[in-house]
Amino acid sequence: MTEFPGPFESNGEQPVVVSDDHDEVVAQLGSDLDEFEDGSDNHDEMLRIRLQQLLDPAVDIEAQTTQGIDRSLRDRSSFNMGVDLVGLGWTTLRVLLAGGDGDSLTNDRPGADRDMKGT
Amino acid sequence: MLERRLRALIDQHSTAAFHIAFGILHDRGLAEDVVQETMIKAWQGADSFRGESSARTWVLRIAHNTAIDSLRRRRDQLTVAGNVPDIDSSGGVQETERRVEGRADLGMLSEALKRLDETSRTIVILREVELMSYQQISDALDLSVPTVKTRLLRARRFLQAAVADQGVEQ
Repeated sequence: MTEFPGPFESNGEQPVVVSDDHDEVVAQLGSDLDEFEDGSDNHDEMLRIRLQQLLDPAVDIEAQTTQGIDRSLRDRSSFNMGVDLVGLGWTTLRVLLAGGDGDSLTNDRPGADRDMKGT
Repeated sequence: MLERRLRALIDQHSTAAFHIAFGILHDRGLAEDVVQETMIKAWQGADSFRGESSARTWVLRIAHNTAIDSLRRRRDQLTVAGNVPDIDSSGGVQETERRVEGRADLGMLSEALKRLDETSRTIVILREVELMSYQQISDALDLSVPTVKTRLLRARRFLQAAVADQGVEQ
C-alpha cells in the first residue's frame, strides 16, 4: 500500500486512488486513441453524408444571411437616424425656448459666464 | 450594399456556421439568427483577429460561442416560462422532426445527436462535416487535442451505433 502524507495520516484512512481496473481502462483508451493516430484523414464517410443531409440549411443560407444582415443594418441605421433627429429636435426646441439666442446653448443656465468669471 | 469584407465572410463561412448552430440548437430559425450574429461579430471584430489561427477557425469559434449563448438564453426563457423544450414558435424542433420524417436513417441520427453534449456535437460536426483537423478543432473550441480526440471517439461510436441500430431495425 502507498503511504500518503498529510491529512490521511491523521485519521488513519488509506484512500483508494485507483481501482485494479484502472490499467485496463487506460490501455483500452490508449488503444482507442491509436485509431486516431493513423492519420488525419480518417473520417467516417457514411456518417459525414448523413450529418450533411441532417444539417443541410435547406435554404440559400448565404443569400438569407446577406438579406438579414442588410435589413438589420438598415434598421439600425434608421434607428440611429431617428435618435439623431430627436436630438436635433431637442436642440431646436431649446433654441426656440431660449428666444432664438444661439449663444445661450453654450451655457446650461443663465449667468454661467458670470459665475465662471467670478471664480 | 454590404461591405466587401462582410460579404466575403458570409460567402465563405455561413454554411459551416449554420451546421454548428443547427447542430447545437436543433432549430433552423435560431440557427439562422446565430449565423447572422456570427457574421456581424466577425466583421466588427476583424481588427482584433490576431491571425494565430485561420480565419475559418476563428469564425467557427464565434459561431460555436454564439450558438451556446443562444441555447442558454433559450433555456432560461423556457425555465422562466415553464414551457416544454420540444415546442418552439419558429417551428424549429418540430420542423426538424418533420423534415427527417420519412427519412428513418436521419431520424435516429437526429435523436442521437441531440443526446450528445453541445461540445461533442460541435466536435463531430467540425470533424465529419467540415473536415477540420484535430488541431483546428482544438483551436476553435479551446480544448486540448487529446480531449478533442477522446470526445470525438465517444461521440462517433455513439452515433455510429445509433445509425447501425436503425439499419438492423430496417
